[in-house]
Amino acid sequence: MLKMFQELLPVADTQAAHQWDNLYLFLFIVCVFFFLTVMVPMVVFAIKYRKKPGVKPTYIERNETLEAIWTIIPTIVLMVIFAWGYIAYKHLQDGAPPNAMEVRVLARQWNWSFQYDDGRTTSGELFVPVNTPVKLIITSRKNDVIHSFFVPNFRIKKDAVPGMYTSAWFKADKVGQNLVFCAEYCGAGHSGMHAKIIVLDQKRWQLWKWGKEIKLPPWIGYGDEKLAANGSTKTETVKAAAIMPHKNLITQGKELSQERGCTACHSVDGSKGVGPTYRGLYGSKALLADGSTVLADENYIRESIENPQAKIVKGYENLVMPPYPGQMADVEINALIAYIKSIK
Amino acid sequence: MHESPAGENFMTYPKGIRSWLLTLDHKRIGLMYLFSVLTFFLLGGIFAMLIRLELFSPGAQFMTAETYNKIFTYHGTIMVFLVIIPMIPTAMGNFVLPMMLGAKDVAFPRLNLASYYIFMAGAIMALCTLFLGGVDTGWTFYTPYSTHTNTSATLMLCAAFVVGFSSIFTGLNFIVTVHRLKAKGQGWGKLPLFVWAIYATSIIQVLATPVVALTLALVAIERVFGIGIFDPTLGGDPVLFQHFFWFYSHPAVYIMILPAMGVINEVVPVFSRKPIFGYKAMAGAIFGIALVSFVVWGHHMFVSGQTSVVNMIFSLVTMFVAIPTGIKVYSWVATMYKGSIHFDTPMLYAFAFIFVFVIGGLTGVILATLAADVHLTDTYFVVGHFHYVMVGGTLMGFMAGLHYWFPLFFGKMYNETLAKISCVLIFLGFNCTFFPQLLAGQKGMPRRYFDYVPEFTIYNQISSVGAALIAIGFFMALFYFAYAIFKGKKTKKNPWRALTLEWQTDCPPPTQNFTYEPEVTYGPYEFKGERV
Repeated sequence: MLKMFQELLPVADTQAAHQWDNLYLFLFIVCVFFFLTVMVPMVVFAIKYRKKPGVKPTYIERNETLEAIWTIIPTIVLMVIFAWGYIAYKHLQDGAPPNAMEVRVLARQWNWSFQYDDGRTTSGELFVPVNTPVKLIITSRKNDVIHSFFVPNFRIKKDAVPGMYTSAWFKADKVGQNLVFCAEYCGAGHSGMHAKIIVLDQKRWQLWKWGKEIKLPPWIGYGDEKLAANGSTKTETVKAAAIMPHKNLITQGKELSQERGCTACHSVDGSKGVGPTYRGLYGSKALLADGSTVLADENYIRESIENPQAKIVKGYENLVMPPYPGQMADVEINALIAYIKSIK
Repeated sequence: MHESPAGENFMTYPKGIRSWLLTLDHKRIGLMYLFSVLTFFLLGGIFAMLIRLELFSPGAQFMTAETYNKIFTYHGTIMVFLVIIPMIPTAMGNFVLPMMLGAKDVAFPRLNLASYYIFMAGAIMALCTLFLGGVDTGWTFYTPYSTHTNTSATLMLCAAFVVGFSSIFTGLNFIVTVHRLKAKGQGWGKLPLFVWAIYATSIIQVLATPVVALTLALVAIERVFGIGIFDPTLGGDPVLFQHFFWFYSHPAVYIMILPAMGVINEVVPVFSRKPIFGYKAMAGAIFGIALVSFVVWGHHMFVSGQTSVVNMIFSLVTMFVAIPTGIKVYSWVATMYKGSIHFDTPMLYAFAFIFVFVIGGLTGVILATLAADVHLTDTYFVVGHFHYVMVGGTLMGFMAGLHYWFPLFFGKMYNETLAKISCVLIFLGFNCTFFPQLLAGQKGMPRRYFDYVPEFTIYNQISSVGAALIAIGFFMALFYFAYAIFKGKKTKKNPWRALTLEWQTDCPPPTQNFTYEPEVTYGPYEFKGERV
């Protein structure tokens, strides 16, 4: 019975996905139950009280007990559903441990690319090690449209919005390839905007990391067309090699910050320069000129680069930093943020 | 207001095409809406069939992805703005609502005619885009796609803006009509529940439509003048659009479903020969749903980047929609208890309505559950869910109403046997079409997909077969209705023995509706002296 139910869902490939399946099974049972509480009486009444000669209908206007029952019981059940849904969501959405490996996902019409900490970028394929929490920092290219990063096997989905960062995370249990869909309508190539998350065992992950060719693991659940036709366990013989990066992301960001002159005003050692220091900035609460505070996360840093006057830190009201909208590519901003994050 | 002479009715007097086009008679305007909406329904249905044909197997069948995107956009836009939203309030509301109040007309007959022509102007603008390159934004017009696409989206946005005004005018008209034109002795507690439903719908229309109209106007302004509102390259915020859009479009879901509930409220007691169960709770539930509808829009955006706290609040509030909805469903079933149930076609549609609407409602609860929604949103599960509500709910309600009031509209009776067969076909076809979509969605098939991985083939093929069944059912209906209008046998007065005022006159009614001044001395569902 449970197996049949799971057949109706994609393969669950993470702990969070298994929890999702439990929640969904509960929802399914509740829905069937309430469906029957309506349908069984309806069918019984339709048969039992069908028009019969000589039988008069009974005049009933209301029944307060019944009305109370079908108000209160569903309310209680709904609150249970809500609470369970929220708890599962907290884990599914915000459960990434702080030491999670970070990957930046960049969407464009109609392709997904991935930017790793070591400075490497891959297109259409995200390589991750098994049993390792991975945090995705997702955005869409600035002049592009909204996309949505959807991994059925992980039960995660998050919109990629131009000019804004969103996040998702997963920790894959199984070695294999997982299909990624775009779930937000984005034009002619929408239904073909696939990617795959390739989960590698530690050995192959190390090989891949050092630029060696590796054999790809099998698909998990549905894969691309030719694989789905032959069952999902076939191993692909194609080999993938990683292009070795020149510099890691933080170094890229550091060099950028020097090229663009950021560090002329923003110190990295905590001293007060023309602008606020980068040191310890990420994750701190910035006190703004209007007295409010804001969490210095990816979105705040990005906004401060592209539109510095939007949120001015207290004490820097009279200084005008030139805005950089559209001058830096998304991958460059990602590198810069990675650099700022690293200065603790 | 001219009164029709003895032996004549609103259909036959006055005569001439001009007397129809410039009529101030709410009944004629209602019928003009009915035929216009049905024409758009046919058009939207053709687009639906093209979608189902294309999706019959994976890969391109007979069109390109660009064409497919336009086709689903037209299917959605036409069905939402020109069919499902106006269908019951404008066609049946116009015809029946004033009569239920014993009134001669709506409060502002000229405004009513103006609404019709504004609606038609908007509709024609929308259809003009078909010949100007088409539109491929989807009916939701999400930015920045809708600001970037170089199809004729601007004209479509203007069209939706114009149609919105028609909706506002109609809503205003009905609100004033309900307040001012009730019959002698007809207090709020003696109003038929259909009136309550249309009244609540009108309030939502008047309050929410301006927001979407302005939002769509802002997108048009952004497209034409390059002023940054929603487009991030111009300094705008694309997610702001979603907030604005769903602030209207979620209540719009209730604009669609409340009138259908109103119809079912009329049909179930009449064909069970019993008072509606819990009149006050029923009227209260309508307003409960209308009220909550304004504060749940964020549940469309659980994966859009909203913070978890905001998501939590919207999920919680959304759960509360289910409570008044549940009250209504259980009350309909309780109305049947110890009744004398007549299985005429309107009642069959009421059964069908309850069946599909309960599935639509329960899948809605699943989608309101935060974690569940993350996987299911933007998949075919959502497509299945809202078709269960909008098509299964609104359309079944509309068909129940059309079969119920058809004798009143035209003074003729349709062929009951054919009507029943058609009803069963539509019901089976409907479930055959949309249940597999729920399954495809939970398996992970995203919506608005021109092509899909082969895993999803079986669901799509069953779905396409179901769509064909629905089409056959509706063509049958078209046939027996057309036959009935021209050659059907005359109906007697009040064929269903209903107690509401609209039936206490001739079928079809005279131009002035009643030949006497109606007075209400008993409730709309007081089937007390019921003889079987």
